[in-house]
This record gives sequence, C-alpha cells and structure tokens, in this order.
Amino acid sequence: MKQTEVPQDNTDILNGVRKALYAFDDNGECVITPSSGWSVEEMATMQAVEEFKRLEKEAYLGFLNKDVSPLTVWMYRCRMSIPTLASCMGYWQWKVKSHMKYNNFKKLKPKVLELYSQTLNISLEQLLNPKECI
Amino acid sequence: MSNFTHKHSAHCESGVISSLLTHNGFSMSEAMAFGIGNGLSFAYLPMVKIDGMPLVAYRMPPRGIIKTLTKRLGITLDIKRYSNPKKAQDELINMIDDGKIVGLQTSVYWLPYFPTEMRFHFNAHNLIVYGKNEDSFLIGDPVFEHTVSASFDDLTKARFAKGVFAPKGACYTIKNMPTNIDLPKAIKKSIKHTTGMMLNSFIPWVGIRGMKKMKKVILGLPKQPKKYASLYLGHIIRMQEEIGTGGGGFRLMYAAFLSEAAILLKNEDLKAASQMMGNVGDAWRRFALSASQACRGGDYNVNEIAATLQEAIDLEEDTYRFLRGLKL
Repeated sequence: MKQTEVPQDNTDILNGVRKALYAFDDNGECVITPSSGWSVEEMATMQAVEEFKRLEKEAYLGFLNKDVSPLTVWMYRCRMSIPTLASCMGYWQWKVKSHMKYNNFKKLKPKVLELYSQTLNISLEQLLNPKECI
Repeated sequence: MSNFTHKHSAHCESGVISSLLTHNGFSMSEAMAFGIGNGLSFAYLPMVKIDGMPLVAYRMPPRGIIKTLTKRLGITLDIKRYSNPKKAQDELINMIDDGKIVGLQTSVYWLPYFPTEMRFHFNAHNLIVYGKNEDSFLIGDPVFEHTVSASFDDLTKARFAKGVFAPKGACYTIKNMPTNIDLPKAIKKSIKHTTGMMLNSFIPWVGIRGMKKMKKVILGLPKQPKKYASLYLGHIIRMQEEIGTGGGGFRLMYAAFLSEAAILLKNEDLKAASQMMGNVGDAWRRFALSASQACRGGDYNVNEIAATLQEAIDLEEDTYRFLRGLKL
C-alpha cells in the first residue's frame, strides 16, 4: 500500500480519532501514516454493534412480557455474551443462563444482584429497571 | 513528571514496549519491536469461540511480543499484579511520583477515551501512564495519535476488568537493560523463528495451514444460514482490520521491520522481502474488501472470496520461502 492509497474515509466509528497504518512512501520506505478509517472496517464493526443492539431490543421486548430478566437487557447493552458475562462473574454459563429468565432473576439474593451491578458498572436501581434502548 | 515522548503506533503491545525501551535510552521503532518480538503469526482456532465465532488471530497471543522481545534482548521487566485495586492505584501513583513511566494491561471497554463504537470486551490492551493530574492519569495510548487521560477510578476499573485475559492490575517497568545489545543477531533469530512457525507448524490451525483451514470453512458457507455467513465474514474482517488486531496491517508493519533490518544487516535481499511482504498486506486488504461486499447483504460468490484469500495465502507463503532461502 502506498501512502496515497491509505484509506481516509472519515468513519464515524473512529469519531475523529486517527489510527496508524503502515504504508510505503515515495522512497520505498514503509512508514506510519495516520488514517481516518476505512469503510470496510466500519461496516464490519457496525455489523457487530448492530447485532448487540438487535439482541438488546429483543431482550427488552421479552422483559416487557415478563419473560426475560432485565439482566439480559443489560448484558447485551454492555456488549457482552453469555460466556463473557459468566467469566466476568466467575460463574458457570448455565448459572448465568438461568438468571436470564424473568422468574429466576426475581428470586436472586441482594448479594448476587449487587455483584451483577458491579460487573456491569451500573446501580442496582438501573439493573432492575432497564429503560428502553436509545 | 517524566519527559515522555508519545509515539503513534499501529499495535498496542509493540507500541508500548518500543516506547518504554526508547524512554530508557535504547531507541527502537515499533516495527523493530514487533519483528524481534515475533509478533507476526496466523491462527484459526474453531474450538475457541468469541461471541460464538471462531478465534482468528493474525498475530501471537497477548503478551507474546513483550515476552519474546525482552527474552531475546536480555532485558528484565519488573512485572506486578495485584488483588487489591486500591493498592494497585496507590503504587501506580507512587511510581509516577518517582518519575517512572509505567506500562499497563487494561480492558478496552472501560477506557473512557475510546470511541463508543470501538469499545468491546477485550482485556489485553496495553498503554503507558506517564504522569498524573489531581484526579486523573496522563496516558500515552499507542493506538491514539495524541496523549489522552482517564480518571483514577476509570483506569482502575479498566485494570481490574474480569474475564478472559483478565489483567489483574498488571503493570510493568524496565528493571534492567544490558549494556551491549546484539540487534543483528536478534533479528536473524526472529526471522528464522517466524518463517519456521508459519511454514512448518505442526499444529494444523497455525500458520499457512491455518489459513487453508479458514478458506475451507469459507467455501462451505453457502450451506449455512445467510445471517450466519454474513456475521462470520464480518467477524473475520473485524479481527483483521479493527484497531490493534490488523491482518493486512501487521503484514505491512512486518514489511517495515524487514526494510529496517535490511539497512542494519546491509542485506539487499531483505529489502526485496520487505516489498514482497507489503504486497501480502495489500492482498489481505483486498480479501477484506471482497468479503465486506458479501456481508453488506445481497448475493455473493463464495468462490470469488476464497480466490482472493488464496491469493493472499500464496503470496505470503512465497515470501516466507524466500526469507527462509536467504543467507543471513
């Protein structure tokens, strides 16, 4: 890649930050060149972000139907999957999975709830009442 | 506060260690640290899942570069881990007051200065703390163009994120630097190591063999649901192009390493190898482009994507064979 070929697509995901890419200059030396982003990368990142948003929305609808626990909504909102949340909590995955059901979550002890809210970096109040996503 | 010069880098680990070395009087570029640290690699591990997708890595596992580089050059690091966040924060403040610059391992998700869309749960990010204000640390994050800052609380939260690769507050400073470092010897050794690993890995998921495995899976995508195929290709692109993971980018960084090595060892062939490696990087970027057209939805031709991947694999294999044939 020549320096002139370094993508400068001003992508939203980088939000004004420029990343360093290596490219060949006119003398044939490979040097660091700042890039404002590449649309290909943006598409892939946004796809992953959108997928989390979709899962969050689905979970929120389930929460309104008293089917899915608010924890599930927050898990996806914090861009976590079951394995990630389980490893952050030090739980087995089946345990987190059971806490994703509305009725099981309601029976949780305050201590466990507090641990969850610490891991997700939110207050207990927020954990119990997830507002609709933006 | 120490007089720290921030350097914009393509990768966090090589960026941090090269800055630490440079600060301690041994000037080293990021590409050189990446090359000697054997940063370049490829692994396709279908049994390790990230959010339900197989792990694709274009470089060695986290901490690999720092470990290999320091071992090869005979540098000792003072690495500390903590169980108590408060103690970790206090000791960091003390080190900063002593005028040291400190490398840290953190999570990406909890760093407030990262753009929102780039924040994912990745726990093996590296950065340098070089100073502090009343209630915030001054940070040289190598993948950012300029220095940044984070409040005491935010940085400590990022240092104690849990889960895979949990940093456990890891921080490191340079303890001991040997007076005479034999750079040419280290370069030769690392090139030999990298070519050997990429060409003759006995683990089938690593090196050129791993790339061929990935190609096979891509060719089988039409049998999978369309949604999965699209997410799968998107995942590969993310692993390749997102900050600090770059596939094509790492090949180009290795090209920079080879061209620096050519000057140091006075070897014209290495210069040619650098050009070849640059072409490999471009081929990987073409692969990302063709895969991205597929995940934008609509119809796609899986054979076309596989063909661009095969092109990258062939070019990369040729480059390693050329490197291995060199008399260094």
